[in-house]
Amino acid sequence: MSMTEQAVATPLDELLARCRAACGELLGEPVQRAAISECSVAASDLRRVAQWLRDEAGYNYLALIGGIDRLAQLEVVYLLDRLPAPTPTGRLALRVAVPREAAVVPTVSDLWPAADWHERECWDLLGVRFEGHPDLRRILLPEYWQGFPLRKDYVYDSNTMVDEILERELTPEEDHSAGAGDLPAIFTEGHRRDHDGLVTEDIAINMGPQHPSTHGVLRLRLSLDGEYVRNVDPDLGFLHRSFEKLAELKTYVNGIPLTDRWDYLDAMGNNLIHCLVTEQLMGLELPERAHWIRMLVLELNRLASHLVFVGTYGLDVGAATPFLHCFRDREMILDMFELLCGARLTYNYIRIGGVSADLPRNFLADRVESFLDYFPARLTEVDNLLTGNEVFRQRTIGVGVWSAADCIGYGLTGPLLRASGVRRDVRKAYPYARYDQLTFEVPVGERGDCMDRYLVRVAEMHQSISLLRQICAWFREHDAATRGDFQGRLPKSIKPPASETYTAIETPRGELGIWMVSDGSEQPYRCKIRRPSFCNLSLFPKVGSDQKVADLIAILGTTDIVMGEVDG
Amino acid sequence: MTTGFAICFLVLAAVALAAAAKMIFSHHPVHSALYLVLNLCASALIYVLLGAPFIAIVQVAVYAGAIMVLFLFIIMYLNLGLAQDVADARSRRATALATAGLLAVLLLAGGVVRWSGDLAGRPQQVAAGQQALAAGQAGLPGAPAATPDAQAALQAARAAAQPQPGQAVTVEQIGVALFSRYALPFEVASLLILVAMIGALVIARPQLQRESALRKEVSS
Amino acid sequence: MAKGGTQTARAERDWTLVVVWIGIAAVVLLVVGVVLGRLSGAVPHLQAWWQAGPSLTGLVEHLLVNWVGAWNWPASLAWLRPHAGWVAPVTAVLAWVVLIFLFMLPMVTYQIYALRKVVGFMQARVGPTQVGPWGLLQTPADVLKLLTKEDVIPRHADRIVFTIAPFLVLVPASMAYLVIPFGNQQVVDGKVVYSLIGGDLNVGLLYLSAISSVAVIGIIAAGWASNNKYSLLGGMRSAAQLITYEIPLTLAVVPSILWVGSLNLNTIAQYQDHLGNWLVWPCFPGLILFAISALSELGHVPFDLPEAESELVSGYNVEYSGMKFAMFFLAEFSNAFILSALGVTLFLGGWQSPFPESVPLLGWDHGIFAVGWFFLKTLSCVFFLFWLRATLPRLRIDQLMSLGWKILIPVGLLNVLLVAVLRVVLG
Repeated sequence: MSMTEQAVATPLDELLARCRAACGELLGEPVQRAAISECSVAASDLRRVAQWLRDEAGYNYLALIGGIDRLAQLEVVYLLDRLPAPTPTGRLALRVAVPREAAVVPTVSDLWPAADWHERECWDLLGVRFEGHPDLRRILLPEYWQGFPLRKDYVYDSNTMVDEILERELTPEEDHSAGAGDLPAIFTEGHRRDHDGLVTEDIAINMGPQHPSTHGVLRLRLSLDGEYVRNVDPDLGFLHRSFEKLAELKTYVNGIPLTDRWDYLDAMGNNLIHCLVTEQLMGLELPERAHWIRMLVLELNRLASHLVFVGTYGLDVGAATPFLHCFRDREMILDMFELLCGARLTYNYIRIGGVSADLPRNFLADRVESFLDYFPARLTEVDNLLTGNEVFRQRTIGVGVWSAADCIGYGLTGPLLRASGVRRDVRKAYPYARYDQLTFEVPVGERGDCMDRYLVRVAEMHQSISLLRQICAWFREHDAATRGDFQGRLPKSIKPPASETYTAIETPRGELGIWMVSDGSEQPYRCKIRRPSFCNLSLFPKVGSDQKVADLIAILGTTDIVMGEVDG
Repeated sequence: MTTGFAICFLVLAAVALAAAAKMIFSHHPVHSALYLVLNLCASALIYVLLGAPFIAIVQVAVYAGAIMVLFLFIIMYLNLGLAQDVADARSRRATALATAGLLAVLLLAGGVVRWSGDLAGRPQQVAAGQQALAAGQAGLPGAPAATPDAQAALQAARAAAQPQPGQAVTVEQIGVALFSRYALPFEVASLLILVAMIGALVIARPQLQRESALRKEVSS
Repeated sequence: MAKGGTQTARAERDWTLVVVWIGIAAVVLLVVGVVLGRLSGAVPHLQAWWQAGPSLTGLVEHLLVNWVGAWNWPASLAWLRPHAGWVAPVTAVLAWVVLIFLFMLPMVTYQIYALRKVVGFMQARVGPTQVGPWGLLQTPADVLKLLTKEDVIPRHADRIVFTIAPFLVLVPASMAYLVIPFGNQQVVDGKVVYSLIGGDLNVGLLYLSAISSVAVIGIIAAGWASNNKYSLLGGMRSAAQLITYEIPLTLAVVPSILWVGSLNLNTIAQYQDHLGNWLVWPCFPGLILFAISALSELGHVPFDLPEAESELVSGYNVEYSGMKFAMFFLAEFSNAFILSALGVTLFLGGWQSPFPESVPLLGWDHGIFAVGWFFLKTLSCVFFLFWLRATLPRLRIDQLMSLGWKILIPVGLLNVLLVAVLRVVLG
């Protein structure tokens, strides 16, 4: 580990030298952590440095903006990276410290559009005001919420809060009791505008939080001009369970079951990232078998998650049959997980230092390998049912074309980014577990339309099948020798030394990462989660407007969001 | 025959008249349109009574099925609400009443002159009166003008039916009448419709072009 | 196993109960009918009707004219006395009611059951299995459930229009059964021996098109009156779609009319007396056009935009519940049957057997055999609809419109021209 630090230190120094030459002495002393380089910068200099880093140093991708309440001051961390391939410096974090009472930081949402939602979230939960942000509203909590929950002095008094919520004045939008006599209410609202002498009226439509196609509790406020959507405003937070706050209140081990609830279609990945970042803080080494078991369940879970995507995407464009076929096959994977850990959705299987239980005897031969023999033909069958269908092709080809620049700018990751032609996969860029020992392709799309986003996922499923075959081959060789050695030795209490780090993995939805801050106690001091669904959705208002309603649904379907993750 | 016919006719005529009245006096354009549909269906049944099922079916298909559907469609698209209508209706009501009254007087006068007695023996005139009445109502603001080809068809039906009153008019008879004796009016009527269609296109065209230009601007 | 065993036993007991109840009801009805008939002296009339040729309308007419008409009517009411003149429309209405209750409801109920079983099979599911053997009583149970459900009318909805709309959709759908030739009409010496057609209208085809065009009003009205934007959009889409596709649908049936020279559905069916005479041969493009436009008129996959659940939740009927929802549902499935029947009658020989009359058994197409052929063909078409439903995604509204206006209508016009020329050339 220390050798790597030495190896990457030089590019960082070089980068800082170039930056100083260009912008002056703005950056503080660099800190080299295990996986990321970090510099501090004054709030007033942030924009200049950020602009230089984006334009000259190639940091085109803003992974996250996280706030940390240090009691004396608030810190805002900007995590930058370059797509598709990382710079020699790797990930670069900028740290801005501001006083708690006047927590104001200039916005970077014009440099990286991804910052728009990240800054809103940071304002919502930590009360950092981003100057110059075009639309600094709360994003996860309701507008009437008081206080900033992630500040360390925040006291949640449920009684006062509930009273205030109940007694507050309803906004006109919430007030459904206001009817308009005997006239249907649809005629009394809507935005009138003059349109070449013809007065037309946009219909304001509320899609969700209960709607078959919003994949959970996403609420979209649409304004429609006939069949065209003119404006989209997503309203998030219906499923906000404040995981970042809860994580601070629980020990590292107790935090794992929480992770199951973020992206409930890929709970294994969530387990893994929490354990991975904790292990990194503690500098734990794992037994070899644990890594391979982890990869096994991760790839199985990727298949299960993409199966849900293929099925529900069929539903979104009106085909019901693929959905049931996909769920039948997903069921087999869930059965395997049930054998492994007793749960079918919230696994709590991957633990700090390894996994909770070894593979059952004959699990690979009886379950995984027979599944791998059965499944590829089924996948091709379902795929043909959709891609071989002229109606499906008409609905997806050329619909919702996203440029690579947009995807990178808005911080999209995972299949969405790859469908637009950016070949980036965290498993390749920053390998974790033993992915560096496996061979696989990173499929990318050409057009960046709905069809490509669908095809990329199907191609990824084929890659996962190949990965699973390789993992099974490893087990055939090493199973007997390593059996029982699935959990590393842990100290009695898990107290990582006071430090911080960021690690990410590639989930079916993209780059899932945690910026974990430890103060040496049993609980995390701050656990900032980079939720890929949240970032992926941030492009939606831009690409959703001026589409037809049906295309809007087709496009939303391809983003494959999981609301548990979007809302955090 | 006469009693049953009279009962059915009176009931249907009452329904048609009531629907027509409700159509005029309804506050909401959607209600008016639905009453007009009822009126059209009732008059269609009267045609059936008169032994002209073809005309009845054409009446339902063309007026109720096509024209009124378009009307409802447009009313809903334009969100013609009650509120704006009330203000307008005051000024229009007098004109509407006057027109309706004048029409009623004319029709009654015509009816009195031509009926003069035997109701059942000359059912075609009843049909004509009813059709003219419907057309008269349809001519009011906010309602359709009678399509010329349906009127032509009616005339043809009348002509074809005249030799044997009381017997059902066959499609063949109507076809022959339309394409021989009434060929010219029929073609003129279709020409009129064509002219109206082209006119509508000409009026709407610049609008469409401007809109698509605007859309391009927005998307770029 | 034990659990499964008890479940099977319970299911069998339920089924036995149903059979017993149906038996009891049948016996009671029979007894009541016979007793009342004897007491009131209607039996001779029944016998007379049977000898005259047992048709449904004939029975009602006969009873009204010869039995009720023969009562001792007071002089003041004598003008109401039933006689051959005005009884005909009444019997038509009665026949219609009887057809609906005896035919349409069970038909639609089991069509839904079949849909659930067939699509279930295609989607690797089992469909209903719990109520009755093989779940046979599931859909009747669903109908009962819908009938007993609370009838919710949304606030600010237009109550009257909201209530009328389902009728505007269901009544035309049920009226369409009147002119469908389910089988042949046996005429001996100008006297109808039996008839398997509700009403042998001369303009049957036009009647069908007029009837179906009225249903659109119900759909628009339902969408508008619900005071829900999703319903309104669904209603608008329906209206646009139905108006668009009525034209190619009409153009698609014109060739058949041209070829046979009649608007009478039974005449058209009679013309196609064996496979070589089926109208599908001269009017083949017409069949394709008809199939596509009919799918769209039905709002069926892949044209189910008015009720696209992923966009509009459920479309024009989103606010409807209970009985009123059931009416839309019934109308939808009933229309699927009617359009299938129409397609069969116009292109696939109607109730005629594909074999010549000389072939024993297979060539027979009278009475029960005609009905058998008719249902075999029609239900195959209905099955085809189910199959599509399990296979295809949904088109987008602009794709649907351009298909209708830019492809189907020109092709339909060309097809009419082609068939007309062919007819003239072949005489």
